[in-house]
Order: sequence, then C-alpha cells, then structure tokens
Amino acid sequence: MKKLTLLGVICLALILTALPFMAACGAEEPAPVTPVPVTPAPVTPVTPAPAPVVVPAPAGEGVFTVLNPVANQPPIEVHALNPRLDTLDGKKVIVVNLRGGNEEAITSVGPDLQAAVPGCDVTSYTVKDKWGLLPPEIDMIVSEYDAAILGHNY
Amino acid sequence: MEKAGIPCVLETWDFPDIIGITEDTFLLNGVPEIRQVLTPPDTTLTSLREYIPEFIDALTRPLTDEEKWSGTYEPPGQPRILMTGTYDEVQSYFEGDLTRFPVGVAPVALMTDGQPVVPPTEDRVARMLTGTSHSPDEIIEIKHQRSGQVQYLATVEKVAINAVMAGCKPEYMPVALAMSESNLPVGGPTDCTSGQMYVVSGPIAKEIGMNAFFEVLGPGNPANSTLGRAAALMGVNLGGCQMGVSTIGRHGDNIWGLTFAEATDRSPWEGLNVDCGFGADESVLVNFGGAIGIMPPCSASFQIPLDLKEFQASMPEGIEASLEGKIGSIGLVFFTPDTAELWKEEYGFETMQELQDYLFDNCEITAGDMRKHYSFVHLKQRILANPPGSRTLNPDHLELPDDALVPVFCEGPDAAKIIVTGGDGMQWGWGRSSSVKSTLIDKWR
Repeated sequence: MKKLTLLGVICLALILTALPFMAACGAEEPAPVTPVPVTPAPVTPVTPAPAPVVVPAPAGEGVFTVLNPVANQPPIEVHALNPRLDTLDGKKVIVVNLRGGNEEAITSVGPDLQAAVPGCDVTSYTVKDKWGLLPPEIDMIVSEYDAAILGHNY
Repeated sequence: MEKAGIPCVLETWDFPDIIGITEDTFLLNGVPEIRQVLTPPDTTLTSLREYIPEFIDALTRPLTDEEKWSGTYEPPGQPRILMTGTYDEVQSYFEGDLTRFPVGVAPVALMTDGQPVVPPTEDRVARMLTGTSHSPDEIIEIKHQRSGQVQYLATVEKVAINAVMAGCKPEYMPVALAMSESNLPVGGPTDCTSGQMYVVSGPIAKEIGMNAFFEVLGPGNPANSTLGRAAALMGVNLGGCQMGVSTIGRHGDNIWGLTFAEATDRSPWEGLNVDCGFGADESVLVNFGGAIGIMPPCSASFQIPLDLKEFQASMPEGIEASLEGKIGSIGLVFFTPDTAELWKEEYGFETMQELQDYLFDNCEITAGDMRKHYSFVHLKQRILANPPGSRTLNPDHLELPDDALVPVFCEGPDAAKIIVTGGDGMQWGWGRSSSVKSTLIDKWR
C-alpha cells in the first residue's frame, strides 16, 4: 500500500467519526420520553435464613428388606359357647375370685348380683390355688351351678 | 369353664393390650367368642355394681351365630417379608408404636428386647442357615411351659431370623435351635416371675468359643451373649411374650436368656450332659426355667484339714441352709472347677450323683413349714403325683407331724443341679429355678 499521506489519515478519521452521526441523521426521530418518578424501595433489615442442616446418609447405607421373625399359630379347634340361661331367676350362679388382682372388686359382684336378682342363688368363691381353678374345683362348679362369673381375668 | 359345660362370663380390664392378649388366649384355647365384661383398669376400684346389668346380659342374652359356631379355625399366616426400609425405619418398625401404652405404663418394644437389632435380610438369614443341616421349612412346635399345649409353629428359618437379629454367628445355630425346641419363655398371660437360663454341656461349647471361665456369667463373650439374646428374642417372637402386657411380673426376672457353658473338661465330675442322661461326648442344652434366682457367689477361705459341717457352717448360708426353704424347686449349686476338685478330694464326692444324694438327704424342712408353703396347694399336687415310699417328696410325707423333717427337693436327688463353671480359684454360689429340661444340641448340627 502506498503510504497514506497525513491528509488521507485525517480524512479517514473524520469519516469514521461521522458515520454514527450520519446513520442517526437517516433514522426516524425517537418519541420524547417522559421520565417516571421512581420511589426507592424501603430498606428493611433481613435476618438471613439459617443454613439448612443437611445430614448426609451414612456412606453406603441403603434400604433393608427384612424377614418376619414372628411364628405362626397352629390350626385351632373352636368350641361353641354354651347356651345362655333364659333368666337368672331360680338359677344357681357362682362368682369366682381367680385371685388375679382387684379381688375386692370381683368379690363385690356376688352380693350386688344377689341384690339385683333376688330369685337367683348366688355363691361367692375364691380359688384355692393362686394360678386359677384346679380340676376338682372345675368339676364342682360344673356339677353344682348353672352359670359362672369369673374375674379378675389377667 | 365353657368347655366344661356351663355358660360363663369373664371380668377383664378394659386395656387394649390386655384385651388383645386375652382374645389371643381365648382363641388358642378354642373359645374365641367367650363373653367378657370390660371394667376400668383401676386397682383402686372396690365395686363393680354399675356393671351388674352387663354380667346379667352376658349370661342371658341368646348366642349369636358366631358364638354358636364350632369347627377348625386356620389363623392367618405371617408374611415372610416383613418390610423394606432404611436402618432407622427397620428399628422403628420392630419397636412398634411405643405411644400405644397408657400414661404410667412404660412402653415395651413389640418384636425386640428393647435394643436395636441386626436387620434380618434374606442374605444374612441364608448365611445363618448354613450353620445347620436342617431344612429352613422344618417346623418346630413352641409349647406352653406348663400346659404343654402347642401355642405357635416356628420354623428353622424363623429361628435363624431371630438369631440374626441377636447378632449370632452361623456356627451358633445348633444351640439356638435347641433353645427353640427346649423351653422358651412362652406366652402367658402371667404375673409370675418367669425367666430362662441355658447351660451348654459338651464339646460344642468349645467349638463355638463359649465362655466357661472367668466372668462366665458376665458380658463380653460373643457366643454367650448373642445366644442369650437370641433366646430372649425367640421368647418374644416365637413364644408370643409381650413384656408388660402378657408377661407382667412385678419386677420381672433379670435372668431372661442367660446363657453360658459348663466347664465340662475341667470338672472332676461327670457333666450335666451325663447327669441328664446323655453321653459324655454329646452336646446338651440344659434349660432352667420359671422363677430363677442366682445369689451372689461366695468365696471360700479354706483351712486344711476341713470338716464338711464346719465348711458349710462357715459360710453366711451353708449350702444346705441356702437350699432349705426352696422346697419344690430345682436347687442350683455353682462350683468353680477348683472348688469341685476340693470337694472331691476333701469330702470324697467322687461323682456329681454322690453330691446330689448328699444334698437330698441333708437338705430338709419341717413338715409344718412345708404345709405353710405359699403355694402348698400347687405343691401338694406334685407331691401326690410321686409314688409313696419313693426317694422324692411323696404322699407319705404329707401325713407326718409338723415337727418331722421332710426333703426339700420334691423330685428327688436329681432336683439338685451342680453346675461346674468359672475361672481358677475357690468360689461357689447357689440359686434356684422352677423347672429343668435337657435337649440334645447335636441333632441340630
């Protein structure tokens, strides 16, 4: 390239400077902008939220599918209940204290039942053994009474 | 009573867990529809007058169709897979809802002994099952200790599951299986103290690394500790024990699965395996059940020559005196091997049987005190079952005057059990249990 003369450089600079002005002169004139007053946002102190506590799962721990440790129950022969009495009037009822606790309460049932059903022959009985009825006692109750109330069941 | 033939009604506390247990018990005994009058769980209650109409109704209202039904009931089976979850979720599931207990009643875990368990995954259970040649599906009947009624049906796999939960190793399985066969703390309901103690006699004790040396009754040994825990877990999961609900001992028993080994190879006498009728080279599980107590051991200070009576009298309670009053029970005498050796050398007890005979002949109580026993009615039934004139507490003794002496050991000399175990040195102790049972371990290998 031939050496630019000083005059050429100056002209080039002037042209480059004038280019935006020349483009603007060719564009449509923008609409006037009405400035909108801006209310500055109130500044309130903000307490920073605590950082969430992240407890990472122990390394390698997943889920466990576990087997059932509980045993099954065998088939059971079910017996029907004995027919109920039509009425307690004229019947013999025994109230058995099984000595399973709350003895004063179960003992009170005999007299209260007698008072409620005067025609019923109510007997109160306390088992001889601490752990319930012995076979001879069961035989006695079945042979001599029409019904039984037993308590306290534990 | 219903089975015996007359209509009856039970008075039961209105407490959900007790109701659940009673209903389970009624079902197990074949009368699931038995009528109950539910009363407040209040120990201060002195009158049930307001419930009289309910008692009358229960005895007179006609039966429903369900109450009239009889036949065979097949209980629903337990699912094999229990649940899937994280470690914490598994522990929580096994614990159950601890908030279900009423105020004032301490919560008790549903399927554990109150401690975290090893999650019984399929893989862990499969590895545990390598400790036995028996099929995982093989049935083991779990029977009530007193009645002998089959209450639950466990399997070899179920035992393995509980053994995994306890932290056992596969080589412990034969002992765990023998435990399930022998005598677990089963069911209830009961308010009696009920524990279990297991002594392993025979070669398997050393094979699996059990402790029969120092601190034999204490913690630290993996086999002793985890097997004992397995027994406790099996009592809960295979035996239906719900602590604090179906099993409601006032204090409970602090010996619930205590497991240790006899020092068979260091004892101067035959082992418990032989005493129980097995061979000296057979591995046997001796289970002591019921109300178990072990007194703190006594250290002996010996001066040679020894007089047997002086030796006994020198103890705070001589062995005889210790065992007197334990009428009807199984008397337990703990000897370290060195103490057993001394008794053999100084007093001439060449065999365990000779010592048992001595204790039977010399541990006595007056007939009057026998009749004052707190459960004499129950004891009398056992006495009446023994043949007159036999070497037991038998019907002949019932006729004796109050000041006559009768044996303490109801079932004869064999009711005195000599347990030789522990570390070097002189020490002896005593205890008691309500029952004893022996089971061969070897068949479960």
